[in-house]
Amino acid sequence: MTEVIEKKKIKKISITIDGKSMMVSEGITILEAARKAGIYIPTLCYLDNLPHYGGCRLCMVEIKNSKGYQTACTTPVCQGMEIITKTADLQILRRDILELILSEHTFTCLICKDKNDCSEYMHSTRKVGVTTGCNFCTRNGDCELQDLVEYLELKDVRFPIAYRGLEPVKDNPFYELDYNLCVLCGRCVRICNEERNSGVLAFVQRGNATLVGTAFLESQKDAGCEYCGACVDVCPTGSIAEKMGSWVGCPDNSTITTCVLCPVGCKMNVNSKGNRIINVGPEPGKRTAPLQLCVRGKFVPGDIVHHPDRINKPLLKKENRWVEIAWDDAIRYIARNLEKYKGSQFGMIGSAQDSIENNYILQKFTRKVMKSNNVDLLFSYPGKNLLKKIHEYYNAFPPIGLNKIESADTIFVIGSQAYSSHPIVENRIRKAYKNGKQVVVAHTHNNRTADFSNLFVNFNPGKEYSFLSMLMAYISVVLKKRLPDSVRELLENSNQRKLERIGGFRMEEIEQFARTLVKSRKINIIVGEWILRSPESENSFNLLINISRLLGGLENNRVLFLLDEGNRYGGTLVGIHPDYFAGFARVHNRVDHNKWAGLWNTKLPHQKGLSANEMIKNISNDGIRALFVMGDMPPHKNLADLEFMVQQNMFLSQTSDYANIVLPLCSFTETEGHIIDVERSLKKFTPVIKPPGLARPAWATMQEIAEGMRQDGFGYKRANMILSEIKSVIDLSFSTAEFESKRLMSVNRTEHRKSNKFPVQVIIEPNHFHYMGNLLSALIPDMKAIREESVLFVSEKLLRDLTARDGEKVRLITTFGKKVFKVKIMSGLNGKAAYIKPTWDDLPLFSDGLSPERCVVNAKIEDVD
Amino acid sequence: MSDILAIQKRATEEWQALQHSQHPVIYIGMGSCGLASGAGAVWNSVQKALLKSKRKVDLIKVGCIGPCYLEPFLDIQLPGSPRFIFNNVDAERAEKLLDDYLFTGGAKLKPLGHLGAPEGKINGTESFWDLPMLKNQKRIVLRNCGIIDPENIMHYIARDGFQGLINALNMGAAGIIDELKVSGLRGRGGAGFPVFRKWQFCRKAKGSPKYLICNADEGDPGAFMNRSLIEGDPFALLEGMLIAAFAIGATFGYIYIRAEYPLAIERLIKAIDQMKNSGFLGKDILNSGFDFDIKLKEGAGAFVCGEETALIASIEGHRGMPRTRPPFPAISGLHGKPTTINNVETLGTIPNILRKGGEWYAGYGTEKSKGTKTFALVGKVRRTGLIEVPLGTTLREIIFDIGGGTYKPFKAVQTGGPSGGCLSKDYLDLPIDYESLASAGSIMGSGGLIVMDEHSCMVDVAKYFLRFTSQESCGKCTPCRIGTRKMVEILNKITEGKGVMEDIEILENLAGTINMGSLCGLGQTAPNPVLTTLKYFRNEYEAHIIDHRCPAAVCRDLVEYRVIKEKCTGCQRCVEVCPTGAITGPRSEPHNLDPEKCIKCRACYEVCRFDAIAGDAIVIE
Repeated sequence: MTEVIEKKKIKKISITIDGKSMMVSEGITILEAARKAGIYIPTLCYLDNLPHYGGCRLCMVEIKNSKGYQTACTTPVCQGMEIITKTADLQILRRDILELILSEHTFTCLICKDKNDCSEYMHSTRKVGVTTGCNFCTRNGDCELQDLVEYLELKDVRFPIAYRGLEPVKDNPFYELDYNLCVLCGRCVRICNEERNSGVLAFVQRGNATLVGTAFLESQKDAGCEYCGACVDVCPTGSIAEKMGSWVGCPDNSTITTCVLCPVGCKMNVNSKGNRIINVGPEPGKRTAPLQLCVRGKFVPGDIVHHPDRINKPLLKKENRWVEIAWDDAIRYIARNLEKYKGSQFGMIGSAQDSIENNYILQKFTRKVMKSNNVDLLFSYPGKNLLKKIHEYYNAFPPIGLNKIESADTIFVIGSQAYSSHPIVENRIRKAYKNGKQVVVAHTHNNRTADFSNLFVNFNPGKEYSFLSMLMAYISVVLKKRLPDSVRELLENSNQRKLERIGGFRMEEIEQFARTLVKSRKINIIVGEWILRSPESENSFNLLINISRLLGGLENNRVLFLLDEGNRYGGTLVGIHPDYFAGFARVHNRVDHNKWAGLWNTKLPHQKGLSANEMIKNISNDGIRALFVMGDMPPHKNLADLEFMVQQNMFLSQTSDYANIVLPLCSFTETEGHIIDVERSLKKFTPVIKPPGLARPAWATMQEIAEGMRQDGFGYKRANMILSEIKSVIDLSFSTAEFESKRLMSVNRTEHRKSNKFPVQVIIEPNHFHYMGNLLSALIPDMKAIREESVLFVSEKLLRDLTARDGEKVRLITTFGKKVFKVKIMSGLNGKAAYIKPTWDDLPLFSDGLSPERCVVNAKIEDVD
Repeated sequence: MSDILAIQKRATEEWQALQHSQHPVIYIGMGSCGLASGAGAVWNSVQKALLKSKRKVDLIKVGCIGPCYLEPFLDIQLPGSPRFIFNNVDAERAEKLLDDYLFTGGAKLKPLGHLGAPEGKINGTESFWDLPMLKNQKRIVLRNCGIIDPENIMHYIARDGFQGLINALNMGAAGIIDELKVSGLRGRGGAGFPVFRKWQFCRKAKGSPKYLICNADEGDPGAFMNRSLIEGDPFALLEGMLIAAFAIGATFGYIYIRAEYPLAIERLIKAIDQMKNSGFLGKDILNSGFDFDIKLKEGAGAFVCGEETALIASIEGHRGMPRTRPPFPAISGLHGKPTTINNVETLGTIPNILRKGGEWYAGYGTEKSKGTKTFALVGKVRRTGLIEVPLGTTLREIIFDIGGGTYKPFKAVQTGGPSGGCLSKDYLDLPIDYESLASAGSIMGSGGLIVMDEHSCMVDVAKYFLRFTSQESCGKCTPCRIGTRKMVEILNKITEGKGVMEDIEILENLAGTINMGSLCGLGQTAPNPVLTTLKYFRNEYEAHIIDHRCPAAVCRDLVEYRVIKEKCTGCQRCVEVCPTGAITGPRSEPHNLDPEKCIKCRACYEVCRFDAIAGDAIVIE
C-alpha cells in the first residue's frame, strides 16, 4: 500500500476581529488568530500546542450571526467570520465566571482595595522568617488570576468563600499540591497526560466535588510520577508549587540556557533573583508554553548550585585537614608538583557533562604540557572505538531530530531505559505510540517503555548481541535473502534451542519481531546503553547498521544512539580520549600525530594512552602516579596509592579524601560553553549567575597551571577563543561524508556468560543521576527519596528461594565482593534476574575499575544469617 | 432472500399457533416496573401452581404494556378465547385467578380488559385499548411492548419485524434518508435534530470505519421510556440500528447503556445472540453484503454521559467529560471517526417508518413535530405509566384524559427532566411539540413528565433538580461546576427561610451565566427548572423569602405539623407511622402531636385519610 504524502497547502482566509480585517490560516482557532494580531482574549485553561479544552469559559467571544457566545480557544476560524472580543455583555459574562472561580479560591488578596499599595511590611500575618507583607501567596506577581481580575475589573465577590479545607498533598519531594487553590483549569492534568504521557494526574470525583488527584488516591510516586515538573510549570494559581524558591518572590531575571545533564540538551529557562537561582521554569507570565524538561533539568540546577556544602576557595590538605589557601598559591603548588609527573605517569579524567571547550583544554594540557596520552572521560564506553564508529555513521547519516522520531512508521527501541536516562526521548517514543506509530521494544526486562509498545521481547541480561544476531538472521529469512554461512549456522535447530536457552527469548518472538520490522516502510532505531555499555558494542553496532541496511536502506532508516551525559560525544570529539586527538584523529598515526604536534608547536607523546578505567587499575609506582580529576568520581581504593592528586570540583567528596588539593569549580549555570547534543548540534550554555567565591571553569584553571609551568599556547581570554581554535581544526558543522561499513561481521564474541556459582544476573542501571561525577542522591535528599538507589530489586520468583521478605535485607555476592542490600520485588524481571541502581559506594561490588564492564554482573543472593 | 422468507413463514406459524393455542397461555408482565411491583412472586406462584396441576399451560414473559400503576399484569388466554388482562395481581390473587379460570372454572373474577380483535366488548369486558388511559394513545414504537415475548425473535418477526430492514436494504442508503426526511422524524433524545440530516452528515463524512452509537444512558430522574422499550421489544431498537448503520455506512455499533438497567442489558444480549444466529447481525446480513456488529458498553451511571461527546469519551475509556463542538461527532466522533449517535426511541421508531413509509408516519403529529412520542407519566397523577401519543397532544389531554388527573388540585408539570422546566396550569393547553415547549421555557427532553399538585413546593422542586445537575456536572467547565452549586446554596437558603429578595436577582443572574457560559447541554439547560419556576411560581419564592412560609408546606424549616382536633377520628394511622413517637393518643380520640419530638418527616401528613394533619407554614421571625 502506498501512501500519498499529502502536502496540504494551508489556505488563507479573511476574518475580522474587533473590526480589524486580517488574513489567517484556515483551521486555526479564534484565539490563535487574535493572539497573532496582538488582540488579548482572557484565558485560564488554554495551553499552547495541546488539544483544545474549553473548560474555563473565560475566552468567550461573540461571532456575528452565531447563536450565543463561543469559546475562542476551541472555535476554528472560517471565511468571513466576524468576531468581537470585547463587549459590555461579554465582560459581564466573563466577570461573572471569574467571580464563580474566585468563590472557590481564597480571593481576598485579589480584590483587596489596597492590593496595589500593599507594601512589603503591611499587614503581615505570618510569623515566619521572611517578610511577606500581605502578599503571602507563593505565586504573588505571577498569578494569572491577578491579571484576570485586573482585566475584567472584578471588584467584589458576591458569594461567601467556599474554602475546600483540604490538606495540601506533600508526598511529592519537589512540589506541594494545595488543591484549595485549584481552579480546575485542568492544565496539569492535560500536560501530564497529553504532553508528558505520564498519566499520573487525573480528575477525580465529579460535580462540584471534582478535584485534581491520582487514580485511586495513590501517592504521586505510586501513581508513577516521573517528577518532570510540567504540572508545576503550567499551574496558573500556585496550587501546584515548587518547594524551592516558593517564598523568594518574583524573579528579576530570566535566562535561557541549555541543560547539560543529558545529551538531549534541553533548552531551559532559569529564573533568578540577585545572584540566586529561584527555579528552572517558565518566565513569569509565560506558563502556557513551558519548555519541557525532566526531573534533572527542572529540579537539580538550583539545588546543586546553592548547595550549602559548595566550596568556593582552594583547599589544601595539610596533616589530614583541609586548609583554605589563596588561588595563586594553589596554582603555584599544583604547577610545581605536576612538573614531577610528566609523561605516562600522569592521568587526566574529565567529565562528559563538561563543555567541549573545557575538555579540549584538558586534553591539550595533558598531551602538550604533561606529555601523556592518559586522558579520558569518566565512565567512558568499554568499546574504545564505538564513538568513532558512531561519528562516521552520523557523518553520512545524521541523527534523526527528536521531534522526527515519529516520522517513521516503526520505532525500534533496544536496550534502552530512556525514561530514566533521556526522559525527553522517552516522551517522543510515547507520543509516537499514542499517535498510532508502531513501537517495538527489546530489553533485558519489561520496563516502562514496554508499556507504550506494540511488541516487546525480553532477552537475558548481557545477551543483546545474541538477540541482534538472531533478529538479523530472521530478517534475512523473512526477506528471503541468500544467507551467509555464519547466519545459516545460527539457524540450525540445535543452535536455535541453545540460543533460546541462553538468550531468554523464543524464536517465535524473534520471528514476529522480524516480520514487524520487515513490514515497516521506515524504521527509526533507538539504541540505549545496554548496547552501548557492553564490550560487544562495536559488533552490535555493526549488526544494527546491517539490520538497518537490510530493512530498506541506511538512508531510509535511521539509528539514534542514546549516548549518555550531556557531552560525551562532544568531549570525545574534541580529543578527550586516549587514542584520539580532536576530530577522531589517531594518536598513533604518524600523519595525525605530526599535524597536532605542528598545530600545538610541541613534541607529543607516543606512548599508548589509558582509559579512565585502565588508569585507575594501573595506579602504581611504575604506572599512574599523579591524577587530575575534573569534577568527582567514585572513590576507588586504588586512589590511596597515588603520589599526587588534584581535584577541581564543586564539593568535597569521598574522592577528595585522596586528593592533595581541591580547587573550586563553576557549574554550568555560572560559566559559558558548548555541548554537542544527541541530535549532534552545537548548543550553548550561558552564565545565569556569577560563580561563588573563587570558583572557576576548567579551562581557566588549566590555563593558569600551564602558565605556572611556563608553557605557551594557553593564552585564552574567553571560552569562545577556545571554540574558535577547535573550529579551526575540526568541522563542527558536520558536513556529510561517505560511510563505509562491513557487510556482516563474523560471529566472534566474548559475550557475557552465566555462571553456576553465581546464578543471578544483576542488571546494573548506569547511574546518570550525577553532575560531573557528583552523585545527586548524595547531595540532594529529595533525589535520594525518589531514586531508590542501593536497593536490590528481584523477581518474585527469586525471593521465593530466600527466607527474606519484601523490604528485608539480603546479601549480594559477586566475584568482586559482597554487600548487604535491602531487597524489593519488582515486576517485569525474569526469574533469575535482579536489578540495582548502584551508588558510587556499591560500584566496587560490580567492577575492579571505576565502572562495570557491562550492564550485568553474575551474582549470588543469600539470606543475611 | 429465500432464507428470510422461510424464517418469516416459520415465525408466523409459531405466532399463530400461540394465538390459537389448544391449551391455556399465561403472560406475565416482567418488565422492571412489573418486577418492582412483585411480578417475580407472581411468576413463582403461577409456576408452582401449574407444576402441581400438571396441566399443560404455556407461561410467557412479556414487557411493560404501559399502565405501570396497575402492575403486575397477568394475562390469561384460554383456548378459543382472546387474552384477558388482570391488573394488580399478587401471588395470592394469581392463584385465585388460575383456580377460577383454569382449574375449578367459572371465570368469575373480572378482567381489566381483553387484547383480542376486533376491539369492543367481549363477554362484557372492554378492550384493553379502550381503557381511558390507552384510548387516546397511538402506539407505534411501543406496539410490541407487553404483547410479545421480548426474548423470542420469532414473535418479533411474526409481527412484521425486520420488514423495515428488508425494505431499507432494498431502498439503499439514499432512499432510507429520503424516507426519513419525508417522515419528519426528529431526534427523540431531547434536542429534536432532524434524523435524516444527522445521518446525511455522517454518510458524507470522510473516514473509515464509521460508528453508530445508540444512546441508552437514560438518566433523567423519573424517566424510563428507553428502559421499557428495550425490556419490552429489544429487537425494534436493534433493527433500527441496522437500518441506521446501513444508511450511514457504519460497520460497527455500540449500545451505551446504564449498568443500572440489568434486565434491559440481559434482554439485549439475548436478542443480539438470536439475531446473530438468524443472520440478522454479523457478516453479510440477509445476503445483502452489509456487515454490522454490535457491542454493549455499560455506563457507570454518570448523567453527563448521556451527552454525546461525553458518551464517546466514556466508550473510549476516558473520563466522561464533554468536549466542545465542532468538530461534531458526525465528522470526528468515536476514535476520531465519523459517528452517529441516536437515542433508543429514535432507533426504535425507524423500523416502523421503513415498514409503513415516511408519509404514514408524518400523518401523525404537528407540522414541525411529526409522529408520536413516548412519555413517562409520573408524579402526582392518578394513572402513571409509559404512554405514547401523537405530538401536538396537549398537556391537559395527557394529564387529565390519559393520566386521570391529580388527587389534589393540579399545580405544575415538569417536562424534559432536570434540563426542562415546570409549566403552570396556564400551559395545560399547550400542545406538546419541540417548538411550543421551548417557547414556554422548557424542553421536550427525552420524555419525562412529572406532574405536581398543590402539595408540591416549587422552590423545593427547583432545588431538587438543581442539586441533581450540580452533582452530575462533570466538573469541566466553570459555570456548570460552580454556578449550579451556588444556585443550590441560594435555594437552600431560601427554603430554610433565610433568603433575601436579592437572592432572586442573583439566581437569575447565575442562571444567565450558566446558560450562556456552559460547555454542554447539561450546564446550558441546568437553570431551566429555576428559571421556569421563577417565571410561573414567583409568588412561592416570595412567600419563602418575605413571609418565611412554604405555601405547600414542604420545606421542613418552614413547616410545623399539628393535629386538627375537629377532623381527627383517632384512627391511629399517624401514630403507627410516626418514627419518633411524637403523635400520641388513644384510639377514637383526637391525637396529640408533640412539636418538640416532631422531625417534620411528613409521614403523618401523607397517611392521614381525614385531612386531620395540618402542615402549617410557620413564620420565622
